[in-house]
Amino acid sequence: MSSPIVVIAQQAMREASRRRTLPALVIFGCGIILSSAFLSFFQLGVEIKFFKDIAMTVIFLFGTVATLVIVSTQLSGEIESRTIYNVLSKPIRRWELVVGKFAGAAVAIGLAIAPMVAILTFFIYTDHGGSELEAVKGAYLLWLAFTVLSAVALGIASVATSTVTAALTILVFVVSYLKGAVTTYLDLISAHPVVAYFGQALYYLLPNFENFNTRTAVVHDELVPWAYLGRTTLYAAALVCLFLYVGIQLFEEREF
Amino acid sequence: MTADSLLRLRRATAVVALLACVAGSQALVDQYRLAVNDEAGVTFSVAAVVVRSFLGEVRGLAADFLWLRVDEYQHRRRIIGGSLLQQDDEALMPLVRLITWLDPHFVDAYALGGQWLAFHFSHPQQAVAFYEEGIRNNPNDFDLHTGAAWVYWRWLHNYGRATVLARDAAGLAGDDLERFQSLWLVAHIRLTAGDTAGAIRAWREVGQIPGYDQASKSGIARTLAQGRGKAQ
Amino acid sequence: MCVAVPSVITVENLTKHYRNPASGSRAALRGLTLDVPAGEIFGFLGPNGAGKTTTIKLLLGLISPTAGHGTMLGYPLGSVNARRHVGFLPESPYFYEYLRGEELLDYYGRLFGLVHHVRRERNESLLKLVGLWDARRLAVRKYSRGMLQRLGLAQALINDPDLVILDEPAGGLDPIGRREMRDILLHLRDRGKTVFLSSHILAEVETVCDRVAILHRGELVAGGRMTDLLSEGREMELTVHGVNGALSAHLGGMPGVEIHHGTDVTVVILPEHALVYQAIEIVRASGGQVVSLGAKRERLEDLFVKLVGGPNGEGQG
Repeated sequence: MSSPIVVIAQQAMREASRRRTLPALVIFGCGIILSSAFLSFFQLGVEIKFFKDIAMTVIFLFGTVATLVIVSTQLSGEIESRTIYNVLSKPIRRWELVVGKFAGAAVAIGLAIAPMVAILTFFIYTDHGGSELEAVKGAYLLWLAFTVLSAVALGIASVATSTVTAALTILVFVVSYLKGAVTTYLDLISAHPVVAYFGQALYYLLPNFENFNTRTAVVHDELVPWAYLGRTTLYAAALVCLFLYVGIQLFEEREF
Repeated sequence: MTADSLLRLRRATAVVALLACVAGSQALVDQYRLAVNDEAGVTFSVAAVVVRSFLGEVRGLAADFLWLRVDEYQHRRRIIGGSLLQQDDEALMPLVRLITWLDPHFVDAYALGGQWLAFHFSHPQQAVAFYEEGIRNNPNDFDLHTGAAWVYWRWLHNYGRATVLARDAAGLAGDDLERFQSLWLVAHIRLTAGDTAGAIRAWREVGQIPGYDQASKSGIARTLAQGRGKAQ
Repeated sequence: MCVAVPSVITVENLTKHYRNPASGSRAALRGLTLDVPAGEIFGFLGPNGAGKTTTIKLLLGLISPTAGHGTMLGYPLGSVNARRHVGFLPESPYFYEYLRGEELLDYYGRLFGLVHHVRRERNESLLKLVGLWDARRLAVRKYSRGMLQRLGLAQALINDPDLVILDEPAGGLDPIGRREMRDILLHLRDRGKTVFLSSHILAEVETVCDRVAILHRGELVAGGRMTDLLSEGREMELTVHGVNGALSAHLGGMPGVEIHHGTDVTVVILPEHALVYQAIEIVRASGGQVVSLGAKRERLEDLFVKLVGGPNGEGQG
């Protein structure tokens, strides 16, 4: 007898796999990475760097789109299509529904980027272009970023429509990259302690997706310590718990 | 306290606790940032920060595509030759600057930029500044050390700094050829600086590289001859 | 812990106000007090906007009450433990379009914690019961309105519930489908299940329900056993075949008699029992034939209209 979370997670994965968008994204992403492996731009040695850059960027971009496609309709889509009545009338708790959706999305996204990662590591191996393990680490960290993004989206989806969810999630994603510029600007305009504290608060409390960016290490064959992986996993777990908790509390109060 | 108030208090406490976990784990991650993240330990101008922020995770790939353009300029110039395409030279530098903002580990861009500032634009001060920035961001790169050493030696006549860089390059050499090249540089810099003994020491180190014994002997002989010539 | 109770649903003073930014607050349900005994088919009636669906949502925990409380199968309203033994068919059910019929049932079965072989057996028996066995491998998006309704009933019964809540179960069904639905409901009652049925089709409710409650503008206006609500009066109803003009005039001459001409038969309403023999004698003498005779019983529709009223709902309730 499976837990409701597992049942819902498996259902979410099934839904993701049966959407036409997701397989198309995976095929398209793999196609771009494969084609870049056979394009020769420079003298030997730089090709593999270029290929790794393209591959990591494709994994990032397509993984982000896949995350938005999968998650923005998981909860809000269920509410908008009114299938929520059938689910919530069953003996499951609302938090189990949210956590199950998250778990399913996380696994689905991992499976979606797995083929692209496999192609990347294959060509690194055949071209002796660095460490396959570092590439896998880099991909794992990207997957962590996608799980955080999923949690953000689910948190928003507990109260918003699917369109608003997608838009706000993208906004949070973009703001997390822009906050570097914002904190630099704050440092420039004022040395006041309050401004400094505000800048610090922005840095520590908003999601920092740069933590999951080890493209440099993958492309330039630098080592990512296992301890970094562990700590970043903790960071991702903390963010996921935060956004899911807020989302669950809002979802508990919601009326259908 | 009513049940509703208690629930609100519990929720608020939980959110604060989770935010503390987020902040705490970020601090843990920061301890390893220097080892991993390309922006750790690198100082960016405000403009660089803004550009990097807007491009986010794709900045590395953007740097690669800009390098395509740079490579095109570079090869077209070689084909045509001379400075007929001065415009290309001038167009190339902003691209190189942008590339290094986007990817501080793009050593080819630093190397090319430093070279062109020194050789084509005759701006050795800007060249070494560019090289030094590249070395700060990529402390283990051989080419940047030797490139900077050349400029300090030939243009700025700063033999002390040139020697330090060439010596560092010798320590970073990946193979015998690179070790020879860097020690060759040390020897010539020391000779130019009037330090014949230093030059000879460098040539002797060349002799310790397998297969470079003859080169070492020739180098010592030339150094001694030039040293005697100067004395005379 | 589930305690054996004589009522499966008990609500007291259940109230629900919806906040409306424009008009303040709207009372969808006002102080509903209700008991639904076990083992019966309970009809829950009311015009549109009376509060039926609001009540069902409160029972299932989809919304929270503004005031009042209740229990369902001995558990607080909306509790997970209560829902374990409840099956629910919403009005115009919506399902995951990308699933096949059997996959959908299997999914809901897993949510109830049913093990694989139990799910397999129940899926098969329920799909056959609702007539969807041949369509089990078809994607739900290809199902017709009636098929969706049948699938909805199947998923409402997947956990063999003690209480089945059905909101407009006959919607989208043809007459044969409605009869089959009726048979299923009666069969459930015979097995000791309780059915809570919300419906607009009064004829169906009158046929199957043991007890009804009528809601109007959020308030309970009538409730009780069908036999008690639909009282028999003193009037007698005589159905006659072969009524001609003379016979009709003769019957019409009797005091207080109403005559309703149909296609084949004529219904004569006699104000009291004493006039029955006189009327029969008139019919026989005129060559007509008596088809049936019985006490005139109030129809549910009559009661409903009386309580809820005309188009504007301005009934006695």
